[in-house]
Amino acid sequence: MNAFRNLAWSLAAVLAALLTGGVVLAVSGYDVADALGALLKGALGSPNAVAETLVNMTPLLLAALAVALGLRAGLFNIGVEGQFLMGGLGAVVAGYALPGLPGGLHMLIVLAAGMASGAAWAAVPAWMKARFGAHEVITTIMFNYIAFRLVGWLVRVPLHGPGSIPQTRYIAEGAHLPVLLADTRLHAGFLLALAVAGGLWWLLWHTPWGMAIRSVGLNPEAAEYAGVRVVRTLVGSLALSGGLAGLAGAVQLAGVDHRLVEEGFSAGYGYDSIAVSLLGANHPFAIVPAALLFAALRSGAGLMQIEADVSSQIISVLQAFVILFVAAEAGLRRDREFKAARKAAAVAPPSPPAPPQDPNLPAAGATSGQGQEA
Amino acid sequence: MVPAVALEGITKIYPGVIANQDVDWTLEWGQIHALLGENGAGKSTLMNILYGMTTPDSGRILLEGREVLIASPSEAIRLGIGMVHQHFQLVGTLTVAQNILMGMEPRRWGLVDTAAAHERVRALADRVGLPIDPAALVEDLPVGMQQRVEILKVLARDARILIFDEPTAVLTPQEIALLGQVMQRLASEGKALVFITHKMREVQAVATHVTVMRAGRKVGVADPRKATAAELAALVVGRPLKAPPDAPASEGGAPLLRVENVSCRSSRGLEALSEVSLEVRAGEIVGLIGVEGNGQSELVEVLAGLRPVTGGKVLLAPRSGGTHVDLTRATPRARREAGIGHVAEDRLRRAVLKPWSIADNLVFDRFHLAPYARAGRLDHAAIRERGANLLARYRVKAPDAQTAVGTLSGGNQQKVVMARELDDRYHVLLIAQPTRGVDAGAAESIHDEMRALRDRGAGVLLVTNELDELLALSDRIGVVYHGEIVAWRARGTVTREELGRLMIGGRMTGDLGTPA
Amino acid sequence: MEPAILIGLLAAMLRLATPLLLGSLSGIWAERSGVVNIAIEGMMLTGAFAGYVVAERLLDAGVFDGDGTGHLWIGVLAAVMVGSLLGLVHAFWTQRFRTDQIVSGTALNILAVGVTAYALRLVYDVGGSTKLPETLPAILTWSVNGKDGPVGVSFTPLMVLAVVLCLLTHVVLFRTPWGLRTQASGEHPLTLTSLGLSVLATRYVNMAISGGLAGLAGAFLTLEGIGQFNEGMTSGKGFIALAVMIFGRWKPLPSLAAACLFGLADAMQIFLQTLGVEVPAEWLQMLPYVLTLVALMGLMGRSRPPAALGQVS
Repeated sequence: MNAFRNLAWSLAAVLAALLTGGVVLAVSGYDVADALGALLKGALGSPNAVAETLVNMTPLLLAALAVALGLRAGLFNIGVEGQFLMGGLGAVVAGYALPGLPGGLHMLIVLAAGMASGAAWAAVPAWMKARFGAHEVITTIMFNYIAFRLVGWLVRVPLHGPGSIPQTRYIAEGAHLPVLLADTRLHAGFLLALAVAGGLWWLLWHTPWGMAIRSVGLNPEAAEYAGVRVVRTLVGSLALSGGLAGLAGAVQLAGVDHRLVEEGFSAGYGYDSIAVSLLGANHPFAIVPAALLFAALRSGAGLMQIEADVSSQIISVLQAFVILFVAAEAGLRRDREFKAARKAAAVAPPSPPAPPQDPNLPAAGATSGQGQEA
Repeated sequence: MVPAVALEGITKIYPGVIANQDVDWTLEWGQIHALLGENGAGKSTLMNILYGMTTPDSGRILLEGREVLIASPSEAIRLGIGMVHQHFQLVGTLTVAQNILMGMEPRRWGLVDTAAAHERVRALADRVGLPIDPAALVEDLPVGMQQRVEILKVLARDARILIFDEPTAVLTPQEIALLGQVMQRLASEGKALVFITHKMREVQAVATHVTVMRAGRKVGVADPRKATAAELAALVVGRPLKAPPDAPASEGGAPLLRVENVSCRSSRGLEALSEVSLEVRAGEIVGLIGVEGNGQSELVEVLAGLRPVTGGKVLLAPRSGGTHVDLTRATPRARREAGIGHVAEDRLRRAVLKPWSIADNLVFDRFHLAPYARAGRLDHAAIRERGANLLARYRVKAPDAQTAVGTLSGGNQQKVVMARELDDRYHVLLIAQPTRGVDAGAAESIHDEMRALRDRGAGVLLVTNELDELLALSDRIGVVYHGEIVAWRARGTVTREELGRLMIGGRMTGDLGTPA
Repeated sequence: MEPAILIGLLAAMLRLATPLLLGSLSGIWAERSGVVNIAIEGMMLTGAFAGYVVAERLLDAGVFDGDGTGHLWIGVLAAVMVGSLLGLVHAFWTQRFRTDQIVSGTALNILAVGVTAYALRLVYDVGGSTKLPETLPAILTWSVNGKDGPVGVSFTPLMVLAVVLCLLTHVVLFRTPWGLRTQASGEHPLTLTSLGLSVLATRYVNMAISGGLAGLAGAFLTLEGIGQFNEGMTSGKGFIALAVMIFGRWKPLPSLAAACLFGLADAMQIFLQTLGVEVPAEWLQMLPYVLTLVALMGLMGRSRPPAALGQVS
């Protein structure tokens, strides 16, 4: 599949990014071998480390699928971080305010509440885009800052649970996502995230709505011309993107945190998910290994900080390098393909003449977020 | 005499196409040399090489007998070569003087000396006889004036060799005549002029020499004052074109589409249409012509639901007959469901998705309907089957229906659009510029399909800038000027000259605004 | 209301408007040449960090003593240079690799957050930083006596520089050959190509200027503002600056007015807090973001961005 061939190329770019990260560590005066050793050990060194990596992967995968859905519709949803937080908020309220529900049902309600909150939080910028043309990159970022302040206040004042720490009450036991592997934190949300990846693939390539989303993402003017309901599709896909981000928050809450704290709940999953989605070329299946890689980095970073004294912030630096290198590789690949096509034409002139292709136009399916324009 | 320009053995290869193969060509001082050929024949590539926009893979360029390397337009400008581009290279938000003197502005203390700049432009304009207001904003000028800015831009850089790329494509017949005079005056001053075109008529009107190109090769030279249009045409296409069928005008049946007093605004917020009324009947092709920017594009967009009206009504008779339904505020989807198909004038902006396959593009307007969508899922087998069928029927040159549309030539892309829209799902068709950027062979088959559709009883509204196309297809012809339809003529009752006069708002006679 | 309160409000407005004005000028230089720069936030943050670290290290190493301002000015220079460097990276990625401008900008924002936090721990081994003994002193102060002592408006060097740069941007953009080239590059880049002028060179230079201005805005925050660096201290100012630019219709002088308006909203927020209004702090902190959203809704459709903005060249 094309997306996987792209992923193979992307791997080279990832290696280059990691190498650059190594250079940064070396320049900072760290022992690179020590640091990478600790990173690897922290990520995959024991069954529990592997489980922790998968625990980290779960919200990351769901959030990255949210970003990918947005980009497929031509929308750059940078608001995943805030929608994740709102998802956690919806989930925690549903989790403690509805005691006495049967376990399985309560869990589903918690997840649905998280998803609905994320979707509602994303629907407002979607409406602003459709109605006023306000660019979603700026509006969703503003909504992130508003979400941080809003949740901060809610947790500090009206939803403050017992005790002095600014955090909410814990959700009911019955609303917890079941643990998959005894003595680890690996929970059923992991399987749910994999299923959502499959579901998103199905939605995009096997349903009329998915086809509409992809057409709007490529060229909204053409989609309108062909009879696609562009505004509805844009608002719907950004809301669903927010819903997936909200689900990521709900899964994290019901599977790991079980209550909402004032700060540090999302821990940057929303921002990391952008890198994951771009690395996976916005394809639901290619995003799965990309999420695994970033989750491994994230869970290894803790041990690296303890054992090699390297700040775990190096992971953000690595992520930025990954985005830049993958994007640069895509640009170089377009050049390469153009030159190869030119060579092929020189060897065997084809009979039906095609017009010269503009070497400057981006190739289809490049990392560029599918032809969206700012 | 040493020629101004001699090209020797120029070859240029792009992915999938040989743009120029072993072309030898010379241009003398004082010539007006026409480069004639179809789209994709290699004329523009050859001139882009001369202007330094692209470099040849092999071959030599001799300027007054001296071999030169022209690696960039700035090199070409330094060598005295200038180009008047088909798509004007102008910045609409800047003034005429700012555009003409871009990069060579007179300065005072580091700032642009506006007074001196205006003076220089005025002096230049007077000297060459192309008067213009240096302080006007380019985006406020009509198209003919914008072209004047392009020409002055070239002359301001002391070009002695001038390349005109399809200079008449957007001009009225009167503006074309004026351009011809300007070109003749420049040639009489000893400058060498080249113009790229695919219109025989213009070659015969102004050119002193003509070179014909086909499929990247030079296939002949001719004296335009001696060669007949038919001889030139045969050289251009490589075979004689069949004459369009000379059938009598269709009377038309029941009115299908009724447009009543429709007004709308342009994208810039100005009035584009004022109270336009027309009817399209079953079994007729209604042709509209006008100089670009007179509202005909907006009319098509209004009818397709892509532009809101500020007044008036759009009514459509259902396929099954019966009373007209009001579609004035209907969405594009609702109009398609009611039976209006649309071939958009800008193919790549609206009508196709380049990364999608031919098959997917062929269901772009109906993938939400059975048999392509069933119970909320796409039936890819049905989509592929439609793709394969239409690919064969419309003879689209592609390996298979899974080929991405972006890899096809313009003509084959247009065939895909036609195959999708000229379909029995629609009984009224809005067709804008159906053969723009399409080679003559494909244009012929597109015209045949349009006639067949009409004969099956559909109503067609055709908007085109090509007089030949209009005259060959239309049963009735309306002329659009300043947002109004100023005249109607029946097929065979109007000459090219009369249409040209009407298009620029010439005196109208008799039947103003009423269907013939 | 007591005049002292109004003067205090005015002082806060000018202080808060300055980084927004510099950020919006950064946006104008980039976008007028056709490059979307959503990395202003990251460039500001990196500039704030670089300015602080350079000044603090110079002081710590004893190269300068704490009485003068030499270390601060070298810090300002460092901030501008680091910002320009990021601007050039953005230009290189979007022009050479034809990366989507939003993607490249997002990557730089993530990079800025990571690099500053990482380097902060590397240099100081803690998450915060110590306060510099001095910030850039006011060059002009106008004060009146209020009921709790004198209240004044301080005009600090970078604040004045920002206004000068705004006027300079206006002159250069509309009155010089370079400005006309910049406009052509943003409206119809092929015009330049067809005349043999380089779109790339225009965009590289303008992105260096854009980055430098964003870096300067960052230097203002640390070296003229609070005198220390905190992680994520720009807290969206770079994005708000883009809203200011849109509000100012991509023009320098209207952007000056827009920056004052946004600065006033921010100042009101702080003022209401200090006046002890019975509204939770978080609610007041939301104000600037909400105002940005309102501005975007009100103006996005009605003002026209440069025609070739964001197109892959």
